Amino acid sequence: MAEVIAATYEIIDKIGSGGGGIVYLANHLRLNKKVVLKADKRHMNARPELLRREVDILKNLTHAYIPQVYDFFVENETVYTVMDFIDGESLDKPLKRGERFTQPEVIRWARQLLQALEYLHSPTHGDPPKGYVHSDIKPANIMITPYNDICLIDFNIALALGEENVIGRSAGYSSPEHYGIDYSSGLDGNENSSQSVTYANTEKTALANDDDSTRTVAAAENEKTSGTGKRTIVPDVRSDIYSVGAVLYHLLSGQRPAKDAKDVVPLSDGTVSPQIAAMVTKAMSLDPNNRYQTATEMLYVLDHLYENDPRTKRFKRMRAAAFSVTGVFLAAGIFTSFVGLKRMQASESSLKLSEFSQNALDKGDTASAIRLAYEASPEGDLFTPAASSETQYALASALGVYDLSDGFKPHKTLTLPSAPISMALSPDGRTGAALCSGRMVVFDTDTAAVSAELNAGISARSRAAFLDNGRVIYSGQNGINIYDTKTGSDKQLTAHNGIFTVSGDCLRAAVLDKAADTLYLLDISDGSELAEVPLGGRKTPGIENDIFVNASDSILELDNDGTSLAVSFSDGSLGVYTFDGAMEQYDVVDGSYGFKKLSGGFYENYLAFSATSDEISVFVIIDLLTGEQTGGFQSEDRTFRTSTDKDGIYINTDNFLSRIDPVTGEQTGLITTAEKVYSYASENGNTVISSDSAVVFFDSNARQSGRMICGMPNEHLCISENTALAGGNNSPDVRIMKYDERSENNIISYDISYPHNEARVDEKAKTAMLFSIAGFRLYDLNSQIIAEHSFEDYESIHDQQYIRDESGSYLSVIYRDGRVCDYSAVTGELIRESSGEIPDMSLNEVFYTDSLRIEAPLHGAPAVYDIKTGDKIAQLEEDAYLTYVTQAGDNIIAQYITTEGYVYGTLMNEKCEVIAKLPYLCDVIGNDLIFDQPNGYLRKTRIYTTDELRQLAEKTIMEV
Amino acid sequence: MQLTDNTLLFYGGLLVAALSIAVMIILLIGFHVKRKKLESKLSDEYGKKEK
Repeated sequence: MAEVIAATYEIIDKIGSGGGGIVYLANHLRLNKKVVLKADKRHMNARPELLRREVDILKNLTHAYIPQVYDFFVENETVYTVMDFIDGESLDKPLKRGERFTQPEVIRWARQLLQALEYLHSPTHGDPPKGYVHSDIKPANIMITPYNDICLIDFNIALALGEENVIGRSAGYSSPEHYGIDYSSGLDGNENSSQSVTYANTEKTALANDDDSTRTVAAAENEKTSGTGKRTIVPDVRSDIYSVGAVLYHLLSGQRPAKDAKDVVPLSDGTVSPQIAAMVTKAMSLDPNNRYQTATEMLYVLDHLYENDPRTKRFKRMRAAAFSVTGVFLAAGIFTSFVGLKRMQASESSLKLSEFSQNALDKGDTASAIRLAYEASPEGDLFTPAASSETQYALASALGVYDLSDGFKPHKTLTLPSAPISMALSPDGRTGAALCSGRMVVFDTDTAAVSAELNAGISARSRAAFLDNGRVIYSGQNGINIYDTKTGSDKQLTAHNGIFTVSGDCLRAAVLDKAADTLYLLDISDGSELAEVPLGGRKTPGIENDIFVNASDSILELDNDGTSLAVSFSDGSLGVYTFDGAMEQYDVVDGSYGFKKLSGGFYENYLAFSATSDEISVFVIIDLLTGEQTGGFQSEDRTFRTSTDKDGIYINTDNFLSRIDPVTGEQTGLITTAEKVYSYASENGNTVISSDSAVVFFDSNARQSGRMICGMPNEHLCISENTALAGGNNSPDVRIMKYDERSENNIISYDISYPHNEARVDEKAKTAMLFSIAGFRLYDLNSQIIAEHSFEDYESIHDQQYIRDESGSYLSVIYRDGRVCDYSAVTGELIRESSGEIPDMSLNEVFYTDSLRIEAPLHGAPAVYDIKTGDKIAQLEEDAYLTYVTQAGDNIIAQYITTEGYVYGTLMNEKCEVIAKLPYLCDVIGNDLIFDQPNGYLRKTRIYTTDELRQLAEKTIMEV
Repeated sequence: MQLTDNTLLFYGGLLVAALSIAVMIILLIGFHVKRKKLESKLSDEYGKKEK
């Protein structure tokens, strides 16, 4: 019959025995469940109630890898512990059989073992909370279940109870502390050291006896601390760690660790992974302080084997390095692309602004042109490239730094409410007035600021005229008004509403009242009517429909003192009214000719007019004193237009404009142009005309002195003193131009009648030479002629070159027969004559700079080649002949001559991109540019850097 | 299209970035394969990684 313990447990079989007692497999009679009964015959010192309390705590220990304790009782002086029956076998058995385990398997068991210890050690059990040390971890106490999991058995309840005299010791698996050895003092535990040896002889015997069983060591054998320097060593958590390490050691190597911890041979890297070997070695450190301090710590190592493996680390390093490098390249690429994009955008913006600047300059708005060019050329930085050639060109053009010509140049542009009908300038040129539909705008020509905007008539024959610098007479809404620019008063001169004209002395006005069909002669000073002339039904052009009529196709003019009035009528007749004494009227031209367009006026005692019909156009001058015609002509294929002012009589047809002497009929040409003249104005020797796309100025010698591209005709032109106005019927913009004189740049002045093709200044800038194949003239800086020479045999001259070298400056004349004559640029004397090779007659020229070769054929555009690579890098201007190339610092200067004989230069950067036009350029000395102005001056300026231009633009903008 | 310095910067940068991305993709694939091999090797040594 089976033995029954405590009337509950039926003993099935004895399954084990050891130093601590016997282990039975039993059957719980009530639960019908297999349990393990561990009978411990050791004497318990603890009181029963303490015992019970501890059992209760142990019964609450629940972990997957720790068997459940169910009960504890004492019977027949034997302490029985009832716990889970763990199916399987303990690890010592396969070890004894010589079985070997794989490292992964061992690691798995180690993890489970440490998890169990982690639970066991944690001070969370009972009240007060505390943790438990197993103290007897060995393969025999580790079960392997059928699921290949471990179960840590044989928990020592006695240790749990704090029984100091019950310490499990298993040779090879027990820590030095189990034997009372303390290596934590820092010494190597050399047994010859009196301080290190802390174990008693009995312990020593235990080590030597190779005992695998748990032994009981009498407490007395461990000397207690009593001032002798030795103390009682109690196994703690770290002791369990040591044991775990020892178990792993055995499982991995198949060898049981040495009993003496000092004799343990560390696992070699060849048999196990280095991490595992290191872990076991650390766990089995002699000094507990050097071991893993907790099961959690050791478990951490197992949980992070992958991460801490050198191969993983190396892999991560390589990956990080690879991606870092690639990332750097990616970032660099993105950043570079971003910079490139920003710079492209900035370039594009700059280019647009440069275009806008050029457009503004073409429109005559210099201030806007400068501002836009300045905005187009910011200071370069990482995201903003340096100013492009287009920008530099716009800046130089807007500032006009290389335009040293005297003449009218665009100043400002004023935008009216609508296109002008009539414009006028004050005698001093400082105030302008423009009539547009329904409005009269008065403005300052220096600032283009509007000083007054008044209601005005809307007739196409409305007019505005200055009586003096301060008063403007104009067609008001309900009559004729006079506006005083100084006081701002706007008074009605007369309520007669219609077209008007003013006498040359500005004392009288004649008004054609369209409603009353009557002419009135008024005294401007008070508006009183001096005469009233009913027209008797005769209509003037546009009197009924005066919105679309062309005001320049009819005549309403007073003479200088207002005593004679010329009026053209719709039937093509031209009548003259005299008011000197009794009013008289007579027709100069009757309506039978069918003239449709008449123009003209009074000059002194002469009436000059043009009349055009479908068949013929005539020009006539009549002496009003004698009544006789003193001059005139006619044409069947040309249309004449005539005007008069205080300076004379003007006749215009197609591209021809001249002033005609009323007595002799002699004509003085005022302009030379191939363009058709749409309108003109002249004063003080300056003449301005409008072609279909440009406003062009001519000086008193009929030489072009200025040009402004407008893109459309400007029907309304005024010129007075240093100011000119231009406005068209199709644009509300009025261009204000001012006369600019650049005499401060003068080197010398010369007689413009002296013909020459080139001008040069000697290297010391003391003399200037004007020369052609006909000869030369040498001037000093006081504009005095030093020498003059004519080349008799100029037809045999092949070429002329002005040379500046170490011997000085001289003109070298090369003849076709190879002769070379050099003339001093200081004295004009022949200094050298030599014979050389017959020159190459081909007209292809080659020029060189430091790095470029420029080939200039007779026909076609010059090409620029890199000297080193031979690559073609640019093509120069095609429409003119390249005469000269020189290098000035980083810049290249090319000089051209057009078929019309116009000489100019281009300033280029090192890529041969044009950054400035140099009109009338004749010479380059270092950084200085010499210009030969057509009005007889040699002038000098220097090459400006982009920064200097920017500063100049900034200064100009600030001044505005 | 005339290549200016700025255009070269822009497209050159894009090219470098694109090549870098391409290399990154190749590296990703390569390292993925290598990681799998390493994990397999480590798995053989240490057993399957427990979560």
